Amino acid sequence: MNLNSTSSMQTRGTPEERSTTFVPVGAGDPEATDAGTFMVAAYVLMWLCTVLFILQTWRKTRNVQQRVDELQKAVAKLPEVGE
Amino acid sequence: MTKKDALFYGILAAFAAALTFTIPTIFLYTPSAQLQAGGLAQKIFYFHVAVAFGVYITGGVCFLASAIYLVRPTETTNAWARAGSDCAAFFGTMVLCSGPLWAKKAWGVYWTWDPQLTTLLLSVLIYYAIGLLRAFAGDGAAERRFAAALGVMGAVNLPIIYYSVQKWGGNHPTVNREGGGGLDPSMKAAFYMGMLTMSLLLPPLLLWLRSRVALLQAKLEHTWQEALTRGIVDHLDDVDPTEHALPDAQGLR
Repeated sequence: MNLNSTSSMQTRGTPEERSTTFVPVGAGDPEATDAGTFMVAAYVLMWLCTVLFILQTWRKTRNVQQRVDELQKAVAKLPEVGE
Repeated sequence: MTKKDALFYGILAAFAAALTFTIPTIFLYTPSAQLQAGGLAQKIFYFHVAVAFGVYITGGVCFLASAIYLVRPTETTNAWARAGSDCAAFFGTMVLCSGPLWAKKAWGVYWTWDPQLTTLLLSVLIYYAIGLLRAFAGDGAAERRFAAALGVMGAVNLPIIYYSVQKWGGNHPTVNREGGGGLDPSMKAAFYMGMLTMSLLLPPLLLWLRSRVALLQAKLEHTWQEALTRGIVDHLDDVDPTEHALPDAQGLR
């Protein structure tokens, strides 16, 4: 009996064709992995990286700009040196 | 709007337009490659190679700005050196995210100590090290010079990444390089569109944004120096720290 036979999956197997054990086909076998999943995962990860990088840059810009503006306002209220 | 702003928005519009054409070109009009190259997963190639060139471009900017900073230190060169290393780390991360997923399908493993993969990892770690140094060691003149020196030395590895495949072999494909058979004509449009979008248009946008952050941080530092010179410590009671106005000032009380 061929445990890895695809014909037994495609047709209804007789009692003699049933699997009596499971044999791994190799986790590293490229044939056993779905190419579409990897492609989608790669593009999602790349776009996630890009969005996070831009968001982090935008937040940093906003925070620093806010601090600069507020500090400048506070400095403007201070007396000049020597006054 | 200044000329610089107009240039930025022009590149942003070009990037958006290019992306609108690139995505359907890759996913709808470009055929999959043979199974040994990953089949459908080979389509990762169109962005993977482009962002790898992004590492070279932004790493090159970091190198140039760092070298100029070491000779003639200014806020602008420091800002571009900082932006270059940040963006090189970002593009390197994109390569390291996409490559292993393609490798798993094409080679059966996520990672192998192939010369090109190893040298790229080394470069990405160097750019992360520069970012960590700038983030945690302060922004003094000595730290800036040390980061700039790292930016110059780190760039030495960039040509090694590119030529490692030819010098030391390995698993990495050599389709578009010396000894490679080139791309099938049906795949060229996606490749060139990917390169235009992710190698030529995205790097200047990100470099501009990050250099702006660095310049703003320098401005904040200078404003603080001015505030300290003018005795802000004696006037802290006049400023309301609860309105997130001066978070740093609270440490001076």
